[in-house]
Amino acid sequence: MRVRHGIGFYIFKYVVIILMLCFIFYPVFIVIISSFKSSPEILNNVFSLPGKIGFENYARAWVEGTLYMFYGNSIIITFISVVLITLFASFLAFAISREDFIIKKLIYFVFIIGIAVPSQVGIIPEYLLMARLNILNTRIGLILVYVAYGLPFAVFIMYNFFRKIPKEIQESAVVDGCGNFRMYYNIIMPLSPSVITTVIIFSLVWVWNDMFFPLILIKSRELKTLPSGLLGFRGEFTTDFSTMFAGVVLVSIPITVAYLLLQKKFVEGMTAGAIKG
Amino acid sequence: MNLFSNKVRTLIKNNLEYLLFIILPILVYIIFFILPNAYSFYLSLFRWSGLDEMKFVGLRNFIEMFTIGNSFITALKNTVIYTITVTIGQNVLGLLIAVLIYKNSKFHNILRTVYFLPAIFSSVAVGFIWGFILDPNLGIVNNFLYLIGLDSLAKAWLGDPQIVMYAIALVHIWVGIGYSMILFITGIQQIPDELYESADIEGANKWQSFVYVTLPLLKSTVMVLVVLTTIGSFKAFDYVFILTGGGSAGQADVLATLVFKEGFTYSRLGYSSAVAVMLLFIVSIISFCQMYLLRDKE
Repeated sequence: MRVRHGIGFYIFKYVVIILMLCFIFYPVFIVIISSFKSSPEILNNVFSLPGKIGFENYARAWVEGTLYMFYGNSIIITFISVVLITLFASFLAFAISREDFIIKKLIYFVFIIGIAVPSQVGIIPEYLLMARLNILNTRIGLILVYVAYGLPFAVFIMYNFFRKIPKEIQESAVVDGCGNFRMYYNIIMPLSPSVITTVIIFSLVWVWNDMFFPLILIKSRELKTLPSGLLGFRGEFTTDFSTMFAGVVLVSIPITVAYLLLQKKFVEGMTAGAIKG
Repeated sequence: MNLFSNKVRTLIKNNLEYLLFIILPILVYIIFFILPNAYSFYLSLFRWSGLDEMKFVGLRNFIEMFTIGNSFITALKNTVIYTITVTIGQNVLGLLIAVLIYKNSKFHNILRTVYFLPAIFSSVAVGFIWGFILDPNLGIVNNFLYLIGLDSLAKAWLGDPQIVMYAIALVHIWVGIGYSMILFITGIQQIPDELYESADIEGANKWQSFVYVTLPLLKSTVMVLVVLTTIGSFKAFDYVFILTGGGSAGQADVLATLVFKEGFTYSRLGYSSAVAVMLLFIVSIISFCQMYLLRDKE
């Protein structure tokens, strides 16, 4: 495109870019700065820079705030949930992408209706069910909920990919005596690293950041994940803003680093579904 | 005959194998997703505190939403205000940025990375960040206004029922701008250069080529984004819950936080489920539009 721009356009462009940078980045910046200040310093002047760079706030958030514990829980719960979501979704999507599966339409329908359901809709029965099964306030209970709620979208994304794999590849494999299990493992999976990455990143960002299910289903501090643990800081460090902000920074670091390293994959994973309907 | 039975045998064998593939995931899904969500429909027809006897009341919970008290009406109104503000704000700003930085260059890529950044933060981190910015005493916004002498503009951003929904919507927009921007950039990059060139030859200026070339060709992107943001903000829970907890007397409640509050704070499980059913009903209608639009695209 070679439309000529006047000088006015460039002024407009850079003014918008800079204003938007301030809007997006200043809130992040001010919280990072404040995480190094003491609470009296913050109360005294919110705009000032920290008197000295120290990590006492971070130490307090990590040890007294028990962020180390929440980190452990988040890693375990996210890892298992994401592995199960990806594995289960690939099983389901594989089965319903096979032409001769007689109930493929039914299964697809049952999963597709789950995509837009807000997490709040079934939360009371979910709570009652967990209590009945004696898995309220356990990691396994939380993981099962994440897997169940993560499946619809993952199945949708994977199915749409699998059904576009050329049928000839699969037919010639069948002629060569390839059974369903080898078809899944040796033919379909090796063709699908891109969609697997998409599903992994999408579910990883969701589970890692989710605060709603732990808020309802987890009561013990020892079992809380990072977002739900951080939420508790408000009650524990009521006026101690510097510790709260150190907590915010500590919680956000790993996902930010992952995003910066795998930027393209993150954007693809998080906008999937909007681009490839 | 033999050939036929072989075919049937293969079909049966294959289908049994497919069932092996799906049995475990489908069990987890039915027990922990379908069952609880379906049970909400059932619960919505009862009056129940969770401890006493369940009492069947028919559709009375639904009628009460509109007749007794105004918590549902307030929440519905707030949800609509919130949804409209987010949908317009996020997409207009996302489009504005996309138009300015859609060309691939190192500088533009860095800008895109920064603009998309808030989307990866946990809602709790986002809530704490903006709680600090909007705090009436400590907050950045009010202190900045004092600093430049505009004291009269300083407000209780999260306390005043007149402005709280717009304030929380701003937080949602902050998170979502990058998302809209990315989809708009993808859309704009698919527009063939020749169209701009011929617009240029015909003497169109920058603004005219945006209005007559870019916008019409982005129609499907706009539609998809409008539906996705509408659903996303209609379901909103996190920012409202973290920043206000629904406000005093529920003045800042949206539908999702009302479900939570009625269920877990007031133990009115039947009524809470009825609100949840209404929420699901509205979101489903919007989702059907989405599926229709996406199907149309293919």
